[in-house]
Amino acid sequence: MADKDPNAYQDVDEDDEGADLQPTYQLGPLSGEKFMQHEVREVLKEVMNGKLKDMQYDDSKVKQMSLDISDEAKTKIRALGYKRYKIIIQTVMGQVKDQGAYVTSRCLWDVQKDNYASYWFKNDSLFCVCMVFGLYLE
Amino acid sequence: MADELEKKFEYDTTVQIIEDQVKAILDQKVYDAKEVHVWSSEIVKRVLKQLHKQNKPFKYVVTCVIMQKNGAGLHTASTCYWDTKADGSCSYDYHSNKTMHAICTVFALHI
Repeated sequence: MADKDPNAYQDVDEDDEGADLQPTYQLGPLSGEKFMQHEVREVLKEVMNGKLKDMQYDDSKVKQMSLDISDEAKTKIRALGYKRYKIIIQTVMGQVKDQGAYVTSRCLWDVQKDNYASYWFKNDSLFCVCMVFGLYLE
Repeated sequence: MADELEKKFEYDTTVQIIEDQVKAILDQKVYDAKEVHVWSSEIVKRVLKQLHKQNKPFKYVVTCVIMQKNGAGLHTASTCYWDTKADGSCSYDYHSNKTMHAICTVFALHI
């Protein structure tokens, strides 16, 4: 995402990088910078299909795999360039053995600025649900 | 000084809140595929309500995973990009029920 467009509205505190953010006195994300559900979902789809396509559930590998998926998704989502958004990624992986499972989430946030995206993957031996929450930092 | 105390996420009180709500709803129950969506919504709603009652300047994300006990394995992992000084998360694992597992996680982000 180009962030040096001279015609776009630019804030005075432009050198904020990483987690050390200064107040910008902006109340919400600019029009091109809102957390886009469909965009993030595509990233999740790509990461999960790539990593899990032919994988069998193996107790010793699943722990590391769930951390790898979370980390890779985080890197790719940060690369999408959402400024001033805090990102939370939660990955749930389980074995498929004819049991029932239910994953729910609820949030207390600002409905206009914050959003989430999720994707689930299933094959014969494992299922994986990944949820990404993007919360705007005022 | 009061500002400093308000800023931090409190792990102990939050875990206690989650534990109380999960136990209140799932103790003595048998896994039922028709009821599970009601239970998980209730747990999440009640935990969120209790957290909101604390009146702290935080945004919350609460997730709950309920799975039938079948010998199958389950793993949960999370990664976060946030302010490590003020934000935090905690998770409670409920396994004392004979027919199901539940894992409830709360993420709290300072405004």
